[in-house]
Amino acid sequence: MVGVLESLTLLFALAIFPGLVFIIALAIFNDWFERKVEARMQSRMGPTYVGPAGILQPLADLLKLFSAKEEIRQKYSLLDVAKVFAFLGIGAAVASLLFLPLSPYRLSAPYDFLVYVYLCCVWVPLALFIISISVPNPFTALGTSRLLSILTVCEPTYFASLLVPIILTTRLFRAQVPYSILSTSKLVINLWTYPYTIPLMILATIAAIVCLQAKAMYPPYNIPEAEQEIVAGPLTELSGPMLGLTKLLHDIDIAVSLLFITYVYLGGPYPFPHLSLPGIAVLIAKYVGLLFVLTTIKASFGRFRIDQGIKSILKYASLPATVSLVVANLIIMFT
Amino acid sequence: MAVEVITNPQVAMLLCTLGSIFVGGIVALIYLLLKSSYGSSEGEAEEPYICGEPPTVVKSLTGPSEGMYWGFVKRVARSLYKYFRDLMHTGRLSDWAGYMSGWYGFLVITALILTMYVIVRGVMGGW
Repeated sequence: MVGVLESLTLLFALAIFPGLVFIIALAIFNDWFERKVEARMQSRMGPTYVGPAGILQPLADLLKLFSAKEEIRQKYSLLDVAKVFAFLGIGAAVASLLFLPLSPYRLSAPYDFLVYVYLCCVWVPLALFIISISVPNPFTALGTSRLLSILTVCEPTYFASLLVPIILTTRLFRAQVPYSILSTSKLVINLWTYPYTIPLMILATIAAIVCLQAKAMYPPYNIPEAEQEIVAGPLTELSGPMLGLTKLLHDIDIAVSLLFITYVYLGGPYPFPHLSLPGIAVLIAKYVGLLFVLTTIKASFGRFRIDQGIKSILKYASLPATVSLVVANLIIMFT
Repeated sequence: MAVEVITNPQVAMLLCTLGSIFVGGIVALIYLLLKSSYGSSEGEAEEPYICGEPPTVVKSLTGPSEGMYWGFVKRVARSLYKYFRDLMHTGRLSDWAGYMSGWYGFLVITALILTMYVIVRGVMGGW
């Protein structure tokens, strides 16, 4: 009976909350929020037509791509392979949510952060890469090579910054499950109260935000899909449902990454419990605050060149992440 | 109430992989249900879009793979590339040997320090 209940909870967590249905809704909210806030910063209205305050506009755009737009099949394309990878990429991003305390089925294991890295930092970029190269075009090839250059720098950096809260919580607070996302999410709030660890957490969080900005291809890192320069980079040859799937994968990736930063770096709703009014308010405030930071950077910068982009990631993400990781290890060594 | 499952990494990996395939399957079903009925899957294939030009304007549709390496090295890591070229590729064998032995010495010293640290920590009863 317990096994059946567990299995049902697992299926619910994967398909409904915080799985597919919830994460699609969150991705749609993110898209609306970014468009609305960015528009306000540029003295425009933003979406207003579909739903209250235009909140359903991203959903309408997605449905239009899926059900009303034509899918143009290019002569040299492998669209079916691209679709399979898009499905698996979305699946990998959603499955990683099982590690968060948000899920009713909370999965944890020693060193499970490696599984998270495998799912979100390997499968999702791999899916985007395969989708891009499945429709050959000089603009696509150039955009994909730029995307790979950025990922080469920002993925190891994100990994290094992720290690900071994981190592510190495991070694300083004797976490129940060592090096796990769940234990880290529950204990990380304590790192924001110790004077020695606050600077490290600030540096790691800054590094993670810069990495997310680059991974999401938001300005100033919209180099792979540089409009007016290389048409739309990896998206040049995509249309209709395939373009919709790729955009959905991209938006889900951002929503999942934001949730992980909210929990693993900022502590989610803690010190309040999940099912309490202050807990929910704190969780929403942290998530929307992060999204606002991302949108503000997006609206404030022009596009970097690829070399400027890589250098800025090295300067503002790799360096803080490495420094915080080294100091975190020194703290552990001498305590 | 939430179900908290503490397991080993292999089982976690297996569960997540199966979960990925399950969710991917649901997305595929939704995609098939919503997909445009007049998508040109069976229609005539189009030429690639190269700003309206025919494919003959480019030598090949995808860039050469070595172009990616040199593009990265020369554009992104230009100063690093110049530094290493000037340091090692001077044409004198002694420069190359000096550079390599310097790095090798650094690695040997680091390994020695770490070994001594591990031994001292072990003797002091830390482990």
